[in-house]
Amino acid sequence: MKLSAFFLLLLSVNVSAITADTESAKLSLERLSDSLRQLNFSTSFVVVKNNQAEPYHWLHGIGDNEQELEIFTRLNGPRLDVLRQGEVVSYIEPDQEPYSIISSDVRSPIPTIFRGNISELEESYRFISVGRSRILGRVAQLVRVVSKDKYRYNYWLWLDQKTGLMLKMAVLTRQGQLLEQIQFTHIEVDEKLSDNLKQFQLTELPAVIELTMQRQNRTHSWQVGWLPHGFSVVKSNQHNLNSHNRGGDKAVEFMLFTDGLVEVSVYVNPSHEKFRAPEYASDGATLVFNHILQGIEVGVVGDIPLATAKKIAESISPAIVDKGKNTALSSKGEQ
Amino acid sequence: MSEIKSESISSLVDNYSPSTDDSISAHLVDNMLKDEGLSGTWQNYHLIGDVLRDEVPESLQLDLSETISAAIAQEATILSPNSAMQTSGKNSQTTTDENVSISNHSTEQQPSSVVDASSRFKAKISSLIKPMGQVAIAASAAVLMIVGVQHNVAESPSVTPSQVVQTVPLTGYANPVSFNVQSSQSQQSKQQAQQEKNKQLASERVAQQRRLQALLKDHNQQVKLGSNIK
Repeated sequence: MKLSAFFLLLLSVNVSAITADTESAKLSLERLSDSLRQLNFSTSFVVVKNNQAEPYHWLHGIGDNEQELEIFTRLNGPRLDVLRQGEVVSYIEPDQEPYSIISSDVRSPIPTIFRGNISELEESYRFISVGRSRILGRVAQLVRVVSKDKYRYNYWLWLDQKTGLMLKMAVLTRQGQLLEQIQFTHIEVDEKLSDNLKQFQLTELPAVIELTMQRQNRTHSWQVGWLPHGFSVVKSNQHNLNSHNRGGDKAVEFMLFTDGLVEVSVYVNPSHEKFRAPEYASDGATLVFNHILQGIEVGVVGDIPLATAKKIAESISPAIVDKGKNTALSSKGEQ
Repeated sequence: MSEIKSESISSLVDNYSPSTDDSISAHLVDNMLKDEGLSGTWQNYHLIGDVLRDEVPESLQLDLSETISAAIAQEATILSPNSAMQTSGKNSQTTTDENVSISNHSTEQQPSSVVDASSRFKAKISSLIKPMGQVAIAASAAVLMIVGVQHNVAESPSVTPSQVVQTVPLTGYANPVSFNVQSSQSQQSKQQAQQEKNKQLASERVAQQRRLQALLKDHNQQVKLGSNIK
């Protein structure tokens, strides 16, 4: 009797503590989002994955007309730059002509959502403020973005107490295994726009390419039967996997899903092979999964655990099909 | 026997008599002094003890006893002529001839210097030989190791041929000779098939890598363009 009362008390204390942590964590993340959009900063960071470290330089500033200016540069190996002037984002990549697109999204090692609306993540993740530690010689607040289910990874963010900017980020499995890390090595916040960005403001970006709505309204021959909670379709189309050397271009049906933080691509195409055992590879936290089941080749790519990718791949079924066959298919793949 | 001896030497080195009876240890010391091998162990144990206690001098003199005994020998040779000289001196005291004493001195000096030179030569030789002996020991150890490794290396491939040898007669005993030949052919073809299979596996792996790479690349590309169509 006494004991149960004690537990109840403990529980209530815990619950209140957790909600307090969540609140402060959310505030920290919102501050991060504001800082990433509003500050003039110049930083360097290193992406550590696959036992390799890739250094980047990242400049951000507010130019004339409140236009956001941003430069991401990979410092090792072939040039990889992401340039941004307001809504125009340019990608300069080693094996492609430079191009620009109109987008509010900048693809860089830093997930885009952290500069966007953090509350979009609340459906699938919990925010927990853990404690303070010293990162990059500064006082940092550790915030964990924890998946609500077992189908996603967890993200740990160390946020600068002073500026609200990110000092370190880690992607971990639920078991706590470290998959990918971003460690900032230098951070500088300035009132004024840096000279580099002033100069960049005057340069002209590559021509904007028009993105045609690629046969979007076409009826799809395949459907994804299962996705982790919180994922929704971003787009779907049919295109050719161009770098596929076997038998030239291969048309695939493509769907892109996101839960706000993580993107998952699903590729489906009929294959002349009947069966191929699942094969997968991972690049840091990014998993690439591929198999052929019942003459259907399915590829799943994204920052998700293998089990999730497998489950998604096995849930693929022809769009017009009776339920029985669908379950038979997935159960066969389950074994 | 020698093990017991070396054990008792070891305890002697550690200032611990192997038996309460002092006479036995004295006997042991006598034995040790006679036996070169035992004195060698004595020396080695002391060296080991020095190394363990970290008391090794900067320049390691491994044949200290040798040099000491050489020095003693030197001393001894000088002593005995000296005594001779003393006796001759006593003799010459009676004659009190300075010349004789000088000549005596010179004649006495000569053998002593000869002995001195010979003992030094010995010492030199032994000091030369000692390290060589050590080198020889090290070399023989290395040779043993190499032989051992070679033996190991030789052993591992011999496992697979023996299996091959085993499998051929197994089919051969039960079948006519012509069939045996055929079976060896089939073995060859089997090997070829195995090679083919390996090749296929390798190419399959390359294809797999390519497939996955293509997916990853396309994913990254689509994600970049993706936000546009919302």
